[in-house]
Amino acid sequence: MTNLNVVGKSVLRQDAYEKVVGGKGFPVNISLPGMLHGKMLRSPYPHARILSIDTSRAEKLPGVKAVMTPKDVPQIIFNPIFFMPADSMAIHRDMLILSDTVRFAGQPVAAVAATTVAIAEQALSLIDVEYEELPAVFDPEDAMKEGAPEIHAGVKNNIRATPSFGAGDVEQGFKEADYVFEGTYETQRVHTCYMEPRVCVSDTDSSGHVTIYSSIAHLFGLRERLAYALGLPVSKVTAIQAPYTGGSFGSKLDLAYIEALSALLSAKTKKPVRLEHTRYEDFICNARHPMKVYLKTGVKKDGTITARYASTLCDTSAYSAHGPEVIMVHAYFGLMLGYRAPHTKWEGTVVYTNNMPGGAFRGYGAPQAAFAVESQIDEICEKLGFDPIEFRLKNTPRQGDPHPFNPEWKLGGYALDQCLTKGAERMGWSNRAKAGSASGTKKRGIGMAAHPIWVSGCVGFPDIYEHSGAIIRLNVDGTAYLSSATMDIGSGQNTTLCQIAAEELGLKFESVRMAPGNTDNLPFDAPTHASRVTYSSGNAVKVAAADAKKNLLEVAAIVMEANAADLEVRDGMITVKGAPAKAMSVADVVKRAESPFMVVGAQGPTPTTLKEKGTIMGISSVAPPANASPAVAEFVEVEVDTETGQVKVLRAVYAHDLGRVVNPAAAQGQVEGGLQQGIGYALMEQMLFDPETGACLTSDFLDYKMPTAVEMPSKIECIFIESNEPTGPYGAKSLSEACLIVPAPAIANAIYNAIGVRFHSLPITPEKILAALGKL
Amino acid sequence: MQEITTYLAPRRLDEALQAMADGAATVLCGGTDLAPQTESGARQYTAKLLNIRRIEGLGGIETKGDKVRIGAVTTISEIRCNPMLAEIAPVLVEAAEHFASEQIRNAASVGGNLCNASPAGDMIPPLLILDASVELACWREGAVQTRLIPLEGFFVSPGKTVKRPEELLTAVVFDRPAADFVGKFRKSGPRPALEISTVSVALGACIADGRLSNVRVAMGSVAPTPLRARHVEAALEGKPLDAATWAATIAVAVAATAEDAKPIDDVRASAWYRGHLVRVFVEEVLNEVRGN
Ligand SMILES: Cc1cc2nc3c(=O)[nH]c(=O)nc-3n(C[C@H](O)[C@H](O)[C@H](O)COP(=O)(O)OP(=O)(O)OC[C@H]3O[C@@H](n4cnc5c(N)ncnc54)[C@H](O)[C@@H]3O)c2cc1C
Repeated sequence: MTNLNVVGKSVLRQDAYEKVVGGKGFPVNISLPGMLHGKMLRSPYPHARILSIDTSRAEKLPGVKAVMTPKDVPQIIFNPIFFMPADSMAIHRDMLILSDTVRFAGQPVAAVAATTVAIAEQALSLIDVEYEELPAVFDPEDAMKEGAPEIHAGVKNNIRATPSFGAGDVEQGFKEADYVFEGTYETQRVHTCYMEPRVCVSDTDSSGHVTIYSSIAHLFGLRERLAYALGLPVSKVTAIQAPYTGGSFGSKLDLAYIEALSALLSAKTKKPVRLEHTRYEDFICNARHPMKVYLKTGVKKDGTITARYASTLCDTSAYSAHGPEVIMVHAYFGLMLGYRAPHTKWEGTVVYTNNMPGGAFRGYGAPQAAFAVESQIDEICEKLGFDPIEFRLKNTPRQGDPHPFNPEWKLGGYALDQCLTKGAERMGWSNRAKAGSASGTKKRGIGMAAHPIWVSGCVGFPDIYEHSGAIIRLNVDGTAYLSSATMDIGSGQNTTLCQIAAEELGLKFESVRMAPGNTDNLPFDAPTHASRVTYSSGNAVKVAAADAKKNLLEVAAIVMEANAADLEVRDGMITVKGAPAKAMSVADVVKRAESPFMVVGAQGPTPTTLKEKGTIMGISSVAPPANASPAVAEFVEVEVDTETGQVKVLRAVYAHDLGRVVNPAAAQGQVEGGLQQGIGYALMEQMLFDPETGACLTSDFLDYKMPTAVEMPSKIECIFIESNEPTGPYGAKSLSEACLIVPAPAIANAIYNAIGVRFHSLPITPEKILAALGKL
Repeated sequence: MQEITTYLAPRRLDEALQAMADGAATVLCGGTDLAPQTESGARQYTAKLLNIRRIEGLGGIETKGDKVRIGAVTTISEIRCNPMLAEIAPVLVEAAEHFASEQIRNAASVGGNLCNASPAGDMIPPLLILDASVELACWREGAVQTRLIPLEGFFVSPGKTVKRPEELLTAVVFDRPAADFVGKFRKSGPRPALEISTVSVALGACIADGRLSNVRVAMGSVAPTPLRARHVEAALEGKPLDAATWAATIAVAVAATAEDAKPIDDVRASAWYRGHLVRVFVEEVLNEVRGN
């Protein structure tokens, strides 16, 4: 595709300047006349029954307008995840807006609305709650033992789900192997650390209709889940789209307590009610699920994999929420699909504990899996003397192969081989020294990890929404409005979608603007998750733009007295193919279409023909025909200080087949951000809790360490491979999540190469390194 | 919750001292400790907030004779960029380099760092090895009264000093280090920048005739207050720098750290790791001092 005009360019983000000068479009800045401020009272106990709540002192405090306790909220049991139908059979419903039973430290037990935040906070201290403490359990393995505290009535041994799948005969496969490798790999609980807190303002009118502004990643999911939890039909909830939000990384894909409580408090007070999380509240509202993965691989002498067995223990925490879903994505797209094996089996266990809720986080179960898979491949290669690149090339799919998840799809554009070979060449892989051979106290090593199969959305996933919609309207000044319920969560989604629209319409990028809407006037869209927006929403935008262009050219054909099929549009000018002199601007055509029926000209009123009348628009609501897989390999160089145990990432080479680069600068940003979160996951980030009370000990950035610019390598090289995916808009498929799936195992493998020590649990802290070097 | 009812930003020291004579004012300098602490609820403002930033004569870095004086409101950035300090006390500049981020350094003051009395305050170990004193002033009997306290005796416990509530820290002073004095600073945390020190070590000594003398060692985050490591100092005093005995000297000094450093476990690091880093840093700075 050589003659692209807008796609493939690092155009300036439309919201860049506005964000730099303060970003008034962020939902955190929403303020409505007469607005009240809400606050939640949270349980200090991880497991307790509420015996009584006395709110009388709080209610008497001047400025307090409403106090809400479990008896004041609908007793509708729900699951908070946005992207699955609220009544889906595939998820478990076990939450209430406010409950008499507390299952994690920090669970809200009451809420207040007052005229100021300070009064609301003071009111919380005047609410008297009598708790009956119950025994709590925090370790998922302990939670499964006989006699462990029962967290949800009737759930035996706290085991929420035990999914499994496989193919062939895995025992037979291990018999056919010449070598069998096994290991257990553990990952920790980490938080996404988005910038903008979760915040919302609800305005419930006298008819009970709820209008809500919120910093979420799924507009229609918010409408559906909020309606469900409140017992309302979806048409009684309007979710307003913010022009952009301050980050999600998956954390804003489920109903938060604030949204339901603000709607209820607003109904009770007849005023808009705002609730905003403190950073502490953000930290304990959801996090990546810690997982323990056992992985066993059978390999023949020639490096062919004969069998793969894995089991996963997932701490779904106090509530089911994402747990049973995240473990499936983890198992298929994280653990099992990437490497071919004739015999496979996987078994999962999802367990309740009294920990804070698990949530979605960029990669949705795959980073936990990749740490196991990619570490073990390194172990296999080290032991059997295979080159890690060769080994991966031998056991992974190629372009044109059937998609391992659904053989009806083909890997249409797919270049994992190029990711591996080009990345290796750029990194200087062939010069890699033998593991542990570096001398001195600052030892360097290089390592790599790949992720062969991942998603571009959720087509093919049971009970997960995937369709997108878009509306394009052309203006008399030759510009176009694009409306879509896709949420821009900071990655530049709006810009990418406007580029696709501009390309398809034949307009300049600057001529297309995103016009935000709401759930009353926009077609449905699945969330901004699963690396889906460019591929899936992009597809819908392209279809809507093509529709609008068809309508545009039909009108142009009439006014230009040409055949619509002979017309083309470029940079806002319509020309007849082969006769460039015969040209008319898009603006003039749209003006004609929007003009009155009688146009007054120099010769007096002249009628225009009926056929060319009306707003030129295009509309779509579609899902892509497949779920194209990106492919990725990352190479890193680290330096391990064997005296202090500290690890520096010196250099990273990231090779990714994303089909088509729509916006190179935005793509590079995804890689850098993913590496930053990956370095955190690999080396320093972890949420810690008091072993007695379950209270979060790392709920601010003093104690929760994430990498800053200083920890980032000065060199991050991206190699984008454009395989031109047939099912994607302009050949594009996905990028985002893979950027965070591969760094941790790549870093772990590089550390092994530097010091000859293998780590099976994250994060690899200085203390773990020193202990492994025998210095503890 | 206490509301601030009076905000004062005097230009004269005596005005400021009179305003705080009742011991009931909250002193605000850069606010980089005060704001997070009040925000989190760890401490409360009093009714009177006293901004000391505008007091004339409370900032600046100057030498008079062999005395060096750094005014209390001097920012960490000013220390970091001061050419005179770079020449006569580069260890202070080195510590300022490792201090927080550009934005924080522009606001944070040396006086605030000392008065906040965190065991992790980064300006403290280098000032301890410079044998600095702090100047405290108050309003009494119709006049400004000052006293000088050796920094080593200033700290009582985390957040607590011997400074009385009606006293303002006006300056930190120390003797111009001898020409052959070499000082070094090391700090570490799980991440190298924008970090509260997991541990920090400052070491200084005069190097003459192939020997260490006037050895001063200070540590942060290894006890409730920053401290002078007297056992390590004793192990090093007078030791020769020659290659034959150097390894043994280091070994003795490293072993002595166990006498001085009594770190604790917390979410940022284990006591073991802190103790280990102290040993590593002492060895590193000793080698740097010797190489100088
Ligand atoms: C993001 C961040 C990073 C940080 N990183 C570091 C770091 O790397 N190293 C480090 O050491 N610190 C660090 N700090 C802590 C802080 O910046 C320093 O301690 C700073 O020096 C405090 O100075 P200040 O002027 O801001 O003090 P303030 O916050 O204004 O005051 C601190 C305390 O001292 C009192 N006070 C201030 N000046 C005087 C005076 N002259 N007389 C009497 N009382 C006074 C105040 O009443 C208050 O109790 C960091 C803080 C933040 C927010």
